[in-house]
Amino acid sequence: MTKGRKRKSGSITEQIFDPATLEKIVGWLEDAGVDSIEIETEGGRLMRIEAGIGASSDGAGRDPDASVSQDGARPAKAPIAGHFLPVHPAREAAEATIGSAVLAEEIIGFVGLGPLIMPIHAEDAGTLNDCVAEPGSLVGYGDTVFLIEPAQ
Amino acid sequence: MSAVEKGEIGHRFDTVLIANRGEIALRVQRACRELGLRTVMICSDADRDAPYRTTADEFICIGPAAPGQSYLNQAAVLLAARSSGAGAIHPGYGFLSENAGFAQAVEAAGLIFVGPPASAIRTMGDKIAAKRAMIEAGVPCVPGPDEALPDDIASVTAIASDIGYPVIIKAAGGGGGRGMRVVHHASALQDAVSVTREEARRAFGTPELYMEKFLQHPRHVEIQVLCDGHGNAVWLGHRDCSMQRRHQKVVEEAPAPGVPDEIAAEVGERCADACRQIGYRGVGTFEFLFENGEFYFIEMNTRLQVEHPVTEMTSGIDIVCEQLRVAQGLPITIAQADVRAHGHSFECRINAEDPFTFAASPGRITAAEFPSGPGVRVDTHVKAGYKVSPHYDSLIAKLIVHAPTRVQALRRMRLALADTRIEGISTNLALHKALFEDPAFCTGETDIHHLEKWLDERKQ
Repeated sequence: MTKGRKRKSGSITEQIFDPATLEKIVGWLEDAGVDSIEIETEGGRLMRIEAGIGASSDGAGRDPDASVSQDGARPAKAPIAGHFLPVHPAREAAEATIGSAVLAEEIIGFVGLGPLIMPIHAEDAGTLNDCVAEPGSLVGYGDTVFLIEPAQ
Repeated sequence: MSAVEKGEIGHRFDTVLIANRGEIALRVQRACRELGLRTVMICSDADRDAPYRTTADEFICIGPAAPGQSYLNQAAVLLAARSSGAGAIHPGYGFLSENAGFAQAVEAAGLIFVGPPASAIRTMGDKIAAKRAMIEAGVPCVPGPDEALPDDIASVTAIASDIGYPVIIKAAGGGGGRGMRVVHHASALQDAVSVTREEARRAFGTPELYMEKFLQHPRHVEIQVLCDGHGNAVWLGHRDCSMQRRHQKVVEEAPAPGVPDEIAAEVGERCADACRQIGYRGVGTFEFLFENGEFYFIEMNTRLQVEHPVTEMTSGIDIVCEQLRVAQGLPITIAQADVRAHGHSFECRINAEDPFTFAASPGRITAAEFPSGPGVRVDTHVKAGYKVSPHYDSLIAKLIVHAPTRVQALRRMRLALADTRIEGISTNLALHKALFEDPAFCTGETDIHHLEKWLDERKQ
């Protein structure tokens, strides 16, 4: 039932999303005085890593086996283990609020892991139904953070 | 009242992150709970439903199933520890347990590594340095120089002649049976050295080799040590792990049969001395080959071993609890004179694999029944419904028995094996049942080659 694209195990995308690799890349950017880089992965997908902000992508990092809850809502899962951040530290407002409409691939929250901030994406377009993690709480890789009611 | 409440534990940390999975994760968790310590269990995506999640204070998935992205991912483990407020990391066995870089990173992060100092792991990981340290401490070693083989083949040939054929060439950075080659004649030496050197360079990152006398019919006997950070070290007894297939232990027992007490005591004391000399801390195992009444050091494992329960059963000492106490900075409270081996213990490693082809058998366990009764212990994380992952080691349970004598322990293990039922996947239970009827094994008259020969004979 998932529309998420499968990622190959050990792919370049997965390696980049490895926390250690991301930490290194952010360190290199900061050392070099570079604000951000864009990386095109093997599937032709674009990922942007910003020093001091974190990484965002056009969908890589999402669990390809996302399931559907009993009431039909789809989970949006944490891409890494870390602390759930409903609001990006550099911004004032949340990316999305409960009850609002979200687009497929839209960033709806973040997970903070030390200096890194990774986006949580909506798998599909729909309505943000629920947030099941407490702000600041520890979430694991692949844990459900939001539930989205898919658009008809 | 728990050890924490009594003020015995908790000076340095009150929460332990357990950086492992399977039966050992549950074993360490149990020891932490007994001491009143909080536990943070990490898991990969494949282990989300691990039964020990319900008894953990915190349970966090740190990455995908591939070990490199989860259990071996140092950054992810450290970040999980920091985020969860853990003060110590217990590495269990395998994965990061003997990684000196990880031990150092844990300490650098201001956390406690439940294990020896990184320097001791590094020394013992280099087999040449380890052998040199053991010779200095008076621990008996296999005949052969305590230095790397020179590049010049004429010098290598001279060393082999001095030792006497057969010799074994080993990678200095190897271990666990990898990176070694036996040479029976001088004519085969040059090729063996060059091939092993290339394998060592590729597999272990260093082409350094060393050479030793190849013992033809040894047994694998090991000595368990426990040391604190206050200069105290004791040895807790010896074990026999000769039942191996491709260097993987299948059955272990304590004490090792046929090892005279006075010889074991002398070697055990030297092992404890060696620990004091190198500033060792925590638990460790000195592995020896034992042939014709002599011990020959082969390597030291700087971690908790899979087979530690047989020593727990005979010594009555909870090795994991002691390990955690030592990590708290506490002195060990056991005097050498108080350590006694009572009775006899066996451990069977139950693996999810075909009993005779050894092909891995991942899948869902549809039924699981384990034995119980006096002198029977089962260390396992599985039950009916558990899905054995193809991503990890196939060990699903350890059956451990204890009885007053070896003969009684053999009988108890046969009953325990008969009372074990695991369905839905293949296991090596049939292999254990057959082995416990083998006359040579039952009399303790075997060597490290026995199991492979016995398996070959069964095929014919």
